[in-house]
Amino acid sequence: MRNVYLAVFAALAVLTAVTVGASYMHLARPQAIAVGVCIAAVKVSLIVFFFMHMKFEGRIIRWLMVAALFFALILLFFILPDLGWSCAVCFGGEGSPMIQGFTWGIAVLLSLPALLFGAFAFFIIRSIRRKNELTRDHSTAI
Amino acid sequence: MSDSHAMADTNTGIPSGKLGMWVFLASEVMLFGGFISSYVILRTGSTNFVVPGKEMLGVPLAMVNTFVLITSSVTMVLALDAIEKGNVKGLIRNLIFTLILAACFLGIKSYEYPHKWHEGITISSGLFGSFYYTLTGLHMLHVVGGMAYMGYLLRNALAGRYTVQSHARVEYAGLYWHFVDLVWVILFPIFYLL
Repeated sequence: MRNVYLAVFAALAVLTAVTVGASYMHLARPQAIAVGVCIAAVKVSLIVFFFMHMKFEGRIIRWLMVAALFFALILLFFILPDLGWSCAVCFGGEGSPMIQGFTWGIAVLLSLPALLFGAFAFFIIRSIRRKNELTRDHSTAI
Repeated sequence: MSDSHAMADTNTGIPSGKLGMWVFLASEVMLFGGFISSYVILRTGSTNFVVPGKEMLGVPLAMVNTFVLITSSVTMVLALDAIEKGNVKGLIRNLIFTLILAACFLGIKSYEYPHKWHEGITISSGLFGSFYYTLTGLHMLHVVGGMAYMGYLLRNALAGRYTVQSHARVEYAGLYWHFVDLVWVILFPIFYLL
């Protein structure tokens, strides 16, 4: 594993140099953002999969992180398109795209606690059932 | 120190400490995610968002800081690698390296902050300044917390409490530390480069 870690380290160092170099190349704004975001995404994946051993983790931890990332990105992508379509100065008008975006964001976030508690209840009920099954198996075996 | 692998006998098959650390990191994703999203949205949407020129931001120094943090991540993972092979000396050495590098990061940041303040980027000078100090400050607090965590590990390691069979806390500390590194990898381009 030691060699893998050192290889990942080399990749991270090179990518850092590349992203700094690219930022001095006076790229057009969209391209500059694309390059920066892509390189950051690659670096983050390298850290998560190799240093944090996500590569060797099971379903539960993977889905936990996917869920967290999904809800964090909702904050970004439910509002950003509305900003793109609306003009920056018509903020706050009745029924404006910005307000609609916020309304949807609020609705999604409101449904979050319900989802979360549902998930907890699901796991608790499942583990109780499993425990009952296990004790039943044991008693029949004896 | 009863963090033995016998504890791994849980319903999920994942040791409780590890699952707890990942759940904590998921909540950290939401914390930083909220701040970063509001930064991106205000930066693209607000007409009052003035981005200071690149020469004012001190990109070379921030790049050095990025290297420092990446290197500290590697020494942390090498510390885990060492104790997995039963090499306590390697664990202690790499933990000390990690602590020194974390202190370097803080040192460079404490040079950077007053410098920026003099250039006119203050916490109340505009949206950029507010976001810059909030997010890098929050990240810096995480670095300080990580150093405390590593100091604790170092004390235990020096007392000979970690062995091949029992070193789960080194792994959990590593998860946290890599996450702190990962956040910086995102903050560096969005504040300094783009």
